[in-house]
Amino acid sequence: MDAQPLSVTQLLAQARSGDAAARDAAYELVYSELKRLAHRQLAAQRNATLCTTALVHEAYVRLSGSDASPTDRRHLIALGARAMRFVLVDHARRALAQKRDGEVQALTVTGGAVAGNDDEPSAADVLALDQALQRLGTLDPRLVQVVEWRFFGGLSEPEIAAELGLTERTVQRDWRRARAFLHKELG
Amino acid sequence: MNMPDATRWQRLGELFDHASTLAGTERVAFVDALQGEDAELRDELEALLAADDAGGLLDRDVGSLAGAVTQADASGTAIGPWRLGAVLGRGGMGAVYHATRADGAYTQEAALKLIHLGVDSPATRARFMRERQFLASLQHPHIARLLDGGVTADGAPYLAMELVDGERIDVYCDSRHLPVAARLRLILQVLGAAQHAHQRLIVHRDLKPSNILVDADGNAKLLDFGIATMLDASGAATLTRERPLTPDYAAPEQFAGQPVTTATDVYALGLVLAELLAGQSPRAERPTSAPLSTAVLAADGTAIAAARGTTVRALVRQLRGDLDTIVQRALASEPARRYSSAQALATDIELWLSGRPILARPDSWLYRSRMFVRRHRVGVAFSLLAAVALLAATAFSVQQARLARDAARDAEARALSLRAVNDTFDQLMHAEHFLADANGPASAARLLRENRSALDYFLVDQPLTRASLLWRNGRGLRLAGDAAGAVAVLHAANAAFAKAGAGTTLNGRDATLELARAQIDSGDMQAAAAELAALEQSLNPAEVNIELQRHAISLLRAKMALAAGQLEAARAQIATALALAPAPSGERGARYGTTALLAGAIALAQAHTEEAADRFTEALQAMSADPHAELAPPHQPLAPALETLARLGDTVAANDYAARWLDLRERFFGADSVQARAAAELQQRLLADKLPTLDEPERVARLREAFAAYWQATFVNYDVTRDQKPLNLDRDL
Repeated sequence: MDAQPLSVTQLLAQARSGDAAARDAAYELVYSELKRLAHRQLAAQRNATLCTTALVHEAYVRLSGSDASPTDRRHLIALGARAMRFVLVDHARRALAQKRDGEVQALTVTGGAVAGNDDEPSAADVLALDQALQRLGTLDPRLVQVVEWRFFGGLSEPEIAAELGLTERTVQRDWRRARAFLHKELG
Repeated sequence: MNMPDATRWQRLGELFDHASTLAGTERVAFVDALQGEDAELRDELEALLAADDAGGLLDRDVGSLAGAVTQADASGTAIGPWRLGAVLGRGGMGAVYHATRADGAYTQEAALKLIHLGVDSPATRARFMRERQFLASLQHPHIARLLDGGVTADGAPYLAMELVDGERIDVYCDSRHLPVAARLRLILQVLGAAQHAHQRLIVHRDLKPSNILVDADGNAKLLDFGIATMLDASGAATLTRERPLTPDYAAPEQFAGQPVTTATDVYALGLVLAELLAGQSPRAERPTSAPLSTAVLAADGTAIAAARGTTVRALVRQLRGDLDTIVQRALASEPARRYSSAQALATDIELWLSGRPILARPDSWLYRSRMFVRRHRVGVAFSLLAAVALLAATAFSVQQARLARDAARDAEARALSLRAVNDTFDQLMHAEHFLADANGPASAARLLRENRSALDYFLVDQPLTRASLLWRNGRGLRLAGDAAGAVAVLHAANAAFAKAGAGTTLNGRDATLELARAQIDSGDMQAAAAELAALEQSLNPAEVNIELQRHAISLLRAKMALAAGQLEAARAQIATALALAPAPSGERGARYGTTALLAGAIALAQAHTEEAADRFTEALQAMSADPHAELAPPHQPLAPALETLARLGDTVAANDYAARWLDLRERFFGADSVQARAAAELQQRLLADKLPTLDEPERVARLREAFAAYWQATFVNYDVTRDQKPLNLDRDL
């Protein structure tokens, strides 16, 4: 990909106007690059830098495009959100597998008088969230979209509204429904 | 129960939407009413509502999940002079261990934070250590000291902090049934600590109850001050971290990825304050603007009041009014509307405690409406422009970086410059938001000055990007009314373009023109004339944009001549400008329009009233043809034109003008908008006032009255009766 930089704009222009096959191909290219970047972000304990927007910026750097529009950026973030979900779940699976192999016991001490002692999520929580999202998808696919973009992608409600052609109020309502459903499933 | 799942979920969703807007007994009644119809549905709804109230995983930053899938336990190992004990807690960024000094020098305990991210180059390591040194200098009785810090062998930064034996501030207050006044005094300690740090330009960014501990003697201690910023500033994180650390306490600008300032901490402290006073964060309740006293009533007030050693009625009475106002001011969504500092918030709390009137005023209806309008229309347009610019500049800087460096250093430089470019653009975008509002220039100027200092610090290795940003910054300052400040920045911008060898590019030229405009605004006509002469000299006839450059030069010269009262010279220059201006069609309309506008003003000054009226009409026509012209200050063409027409007694033309204006407003803001309705009202007044039958002074007076109503309705602070120089309005020639 270094040898022949692809224009994000070209890819996304194809994606928007081309036939279904061209669209899938273009999205697949961007998506696989995003996934690769997300994996790298997670590697070597650099996880605090995990951020979809950063991911997308980096994808820009990699795919080089100079005349991208804000719409393109939103498309990219949407893809980045998907990539982020995928990579997190992937890592969570691996983390759980390792734990079983090494019989490492999770050490949890709570109640210490130090910041950050809220109940922290575990790898199992990440998998549970993914499964709950799949269940939600059978009930209302749009809600999954909203969760992916807002939670994994860090898109704001107005941005999601614009992307889905909904009012902000609808997006807020969707989010609140989805959030309650998922928390109920995880609780 | 015989509904399919998706249908059932749809129904449940609708019930949930409604129930979640209800509180207390109303909600219980609503849920229970379902019992007869479908008991199972009722239970599901109840579970959904409980999950909604409880919150959970989705309220976190996605980055904290990354910690979950990769975290390790380092207990029992040694780091630097420290031996790690039990895990005290885990956070999105890493884990906190109980640590004791293991080098035998002396006994010392600490909370050691091991951060899960890489510091993998000598340069970032050095920067991290410098930052640590700086934070270690932060000494305040209510801030937990940073004792030590460093980087482990495998590149993870760690920080050893004073171990505080205390309780979270909210738990402390509730378990002791502290009354409102005692809670406020505790918050004052916290505010003092925040102020101390802010004066050293250290921002916390992650203030929340779990970061504020109170020891047995009642001393509050803030943990982790400056850590978040430090990690960011030291480049430990190689990519920008735009998401908030703790969504529950993050300010709107953090969600929006906008610059974090001391105002961000003020917001977080406002949330903590609200929680301490009313027992719950305003975030948990919707709408967020609900006053504290309402929140108490909506929730189970008895328990909340009991924890404050009082009754619901007494608590509500205490919170209502000034304390509500204080919290709302601290929680204003726009940073510039908040208390300007932790100290300012503390002052109001102290005033309240001593029973004196506070300084903050509740938001007026006018203010709220204006915010609404701005958020929804003009803001959208401006941020779109800025976003486009941001993308262009990002791609541009990336190219620069790519050319400049070898592959290894490239990655780091790119990430850093991306962040810098994004941050500075965010600031510019924000400033332009303010500029769209007539009351905003002061806020815009403040932001731009901050932005300027960032530009001095960042991007030194990317001269072109930096030059462009300086230029935008200077232009913003000028539009915000700080002509002197703009001159200084634009000098720097021009120097930067020249140094980058881009002084004669289109952007370089524009920066020079902008400098001349700022000099004119600051009254330094000589300097402006010199800049324009030099610019004219350097023009190359082969340049593509030569006509536009010449046009701009003539326009500015005409403006200067008019200001100096040299009307003939002004007329000659504007004639040149009109000849050079692109034909008034389509997207070029604004340029022609501003030219015609100035031509009208010059004609008016020469008492050629009819010509002036023609020019103004021409200006409006040109501008209505330009889809972008509406981004110019909205009062630009209307005021001088209508006044001229009124002087002429040509109310038919004035009315025609107002009709066109109405059409423009409707197209841009929508027929239902405040702007459109005000314009319609203006038009009606012009028709109803039977202006032709009145003599001139009366006619002008009536017209000004209509104007005043118009501006007031559109929330522009514009005193028509005082403004005798219509040209002053024209800031964007």
